[in-house]
Amino acid sequence: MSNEVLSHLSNLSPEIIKATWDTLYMTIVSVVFASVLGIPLGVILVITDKGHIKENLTLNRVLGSIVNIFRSYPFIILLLALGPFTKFVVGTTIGTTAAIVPLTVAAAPFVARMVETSLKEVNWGVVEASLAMGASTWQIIRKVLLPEALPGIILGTTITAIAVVGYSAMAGVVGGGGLGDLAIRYGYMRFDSVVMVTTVVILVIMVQIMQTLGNILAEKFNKN
Amino acid sequence: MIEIKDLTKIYHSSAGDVKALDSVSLRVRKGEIYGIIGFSGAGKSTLIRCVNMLEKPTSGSIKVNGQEMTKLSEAGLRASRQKIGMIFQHFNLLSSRTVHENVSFPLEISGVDKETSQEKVTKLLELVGLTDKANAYPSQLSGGQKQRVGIARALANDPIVLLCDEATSALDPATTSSILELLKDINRKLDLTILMITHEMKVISEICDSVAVIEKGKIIEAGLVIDVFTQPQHPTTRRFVQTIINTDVPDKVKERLLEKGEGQIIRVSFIGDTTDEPVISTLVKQFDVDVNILYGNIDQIQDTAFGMLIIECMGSHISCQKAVTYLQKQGLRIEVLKDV
Repeated sequence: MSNEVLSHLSNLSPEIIKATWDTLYMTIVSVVFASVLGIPLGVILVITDKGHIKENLTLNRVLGSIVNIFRSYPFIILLLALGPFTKFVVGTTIGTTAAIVPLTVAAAPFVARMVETSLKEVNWGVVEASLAMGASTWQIIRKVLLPEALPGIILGTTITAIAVVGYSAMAGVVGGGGLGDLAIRYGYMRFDSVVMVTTVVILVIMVQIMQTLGNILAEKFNKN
Repeated sequence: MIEIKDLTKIYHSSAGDVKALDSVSLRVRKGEIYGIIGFSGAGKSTLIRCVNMLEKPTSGSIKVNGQEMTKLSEAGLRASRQKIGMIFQHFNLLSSRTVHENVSFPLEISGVDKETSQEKVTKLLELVGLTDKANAYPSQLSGGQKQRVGIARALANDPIVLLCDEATSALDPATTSSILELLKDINRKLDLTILMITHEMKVISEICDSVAVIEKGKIIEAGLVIDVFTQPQHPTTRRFVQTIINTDVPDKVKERLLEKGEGQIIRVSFIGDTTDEPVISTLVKQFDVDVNILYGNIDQIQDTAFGMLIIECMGSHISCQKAVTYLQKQGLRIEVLKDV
């Protein structure tokens, strides 16, 4: 690397560091909120399904349709369309925190479907054995379904988090900042390939670390 | 202990209704091991799952220890189920929990405190011989060990009844025997009533006191194991008995026998300690017949010896008839398989 490039980078380093932090902040907070919403939703989707412990096909279809509707929205549209809702929740429609609301809304149904898939993998015999022991619905969810599906849920959450990193690139539209925004403003609009390459490298590393962590955690809980 | 009356279960499907159980009635006494045998699709699985309401019967009554199971509220059913242990063909252990944690699982469900649970689990693991595997995960165990965990788990809440759903069908013969021995042992030690379903007659003969044969959703024969084994009435029952005891002469052999003269092929069966007399030699000496032994075997169904001899009795019709009468007088059960 030439001195010119190095000094350019060091001049921009506060911006790069802030953008990295913004991306991490948006991703982590929205994945946490999306899990808080998505995991119960996924559980309900499973247990209300045909033949399961709390079969309720009407509720199942209604929730399933809502999830599908949110998942089919292009994120950039959701980001703008949710403006009034975002203002209601966090008091503003611009900034990093404001971007978290649409990110959460986009990621929650994603999490729900991931959780649903993982829970459906749980051996039905184990659920039946728990019923035979006199377990309540809540006990089956907490002590059987979730622990048995935990490795799958962790991997699903990892996939969701990586998708959210991608979505967060659009947060610049509402002034959310982040690495994607930096890449667009400097790399794309100002033809600054040094910034472009740097942000992409940081994103690649970030995604690699997330996936590795997810794999390690999932393996730790996988007792099969 | 378990009383089933006119139990009927109908499955509704787009292809039409299927009667899985057709007014089944049976009674399991306290402390006995009751076996239900049938081919796959006979309805035995549905039957055992009705006992703890994993399947809801269409009509009929099921009483466990006097408690009518079909009329329980959801909470009442949960409480009752805690007192009915169940083990499964595929063990159904929680893969995310250790052996110890699997056995303590039902205790968590019933709200037993940690200390009592710890003590109980240790005792149960000792009972099933898995003390050294307490911290292993199910994936590290063999099939037989997994079923032992299943049994320990089923016993955790001191059940009044143990239901076994094809508990040995996924195990090899040696492991099957060791699991059956364990069940018998538990039955004796704890005076625990066991209801088991199986498609293996060997299981019935090794540990059951009573047996019911089920076919197409109906009980076609029921009684004490020794009676059903020695005097099977229904053709299906006979087929099951023959899976472990050869009671018949192959048709080809039967055809060839007595081609050249008069006589009878006779099956002689005896139960327990019968005659001390040397019946066969008496037969030859006293009656004008020649005897040729075709096949013989002796078995033990639990503590009772049970044997059978197939003989070719050559002589005139009248001599043979006399010989048969003599044998019957000795307390033997006689069946004439062929009469020429």
